[in-house]
Amino acid sequence: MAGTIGEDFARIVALARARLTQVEITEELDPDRAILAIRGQFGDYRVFMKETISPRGRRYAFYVLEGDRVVLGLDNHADRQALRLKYGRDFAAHLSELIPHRHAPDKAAVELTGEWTAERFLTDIETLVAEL
Amino acid sequence: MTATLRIPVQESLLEILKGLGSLETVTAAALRRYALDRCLQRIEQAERQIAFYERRYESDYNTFNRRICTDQAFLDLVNRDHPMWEADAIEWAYRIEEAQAWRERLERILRESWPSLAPG
Repeated sequence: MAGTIGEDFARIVALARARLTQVEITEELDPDRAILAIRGQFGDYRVFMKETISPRGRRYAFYVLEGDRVVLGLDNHADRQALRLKYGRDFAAHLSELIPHRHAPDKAAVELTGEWTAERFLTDIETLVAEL
Repeated sequence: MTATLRIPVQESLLEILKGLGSLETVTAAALRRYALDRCLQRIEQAERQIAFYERRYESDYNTFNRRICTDQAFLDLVNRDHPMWEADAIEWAYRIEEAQAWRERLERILRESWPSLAPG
């Protein structure tokens, strides 16, 4: 498993170096788990990405920032708004689930999304930023 | 269950090891000691990270997660004060799982090497 995660992370890091500037990488790889964090700059925007892989699944949080302000957030950590969007009144029965969703600027609104990968985020970042 | 390990060793080190007892016993003890030290080191590293997030959010992860998922006022407050809290939370959960995984490995070594020292 480590080889596969290692190869995936190497591909993500190479893409980050190609798409972003001032890139800083932190990564840890174990046989059954791994964590990757990437900081960088895309034009005037700061980019921060974190992804963890473990036997419990893949968790991610990707952000585009203007200064310290979040202008776009994509993550799959459950929160009350995402849970209510997905499950309505029954949301309390699903607190430990991973819920892919997107945050609007200043986290003023949430919408459910499909699963985002780091590669897709980096590949699509120009479009994502253009839509802001 | 045992496996056989064949590795090149510096001759001077081998001479020292021979002076400490049977090579098989000394090498097995050294490997156990190394594995224990590394397990403890990884547990300590993970626990330092867990403590960092507990201080930052003044909570343990389970309480934090429950409130994030059920308490809109708390979620609004965390979004305001820590707008990238999700990145912290995924690492927080990861470090808790990591510490537990290394604890289980440590316990397995203890159980298999010194059954009387193993917890539970």
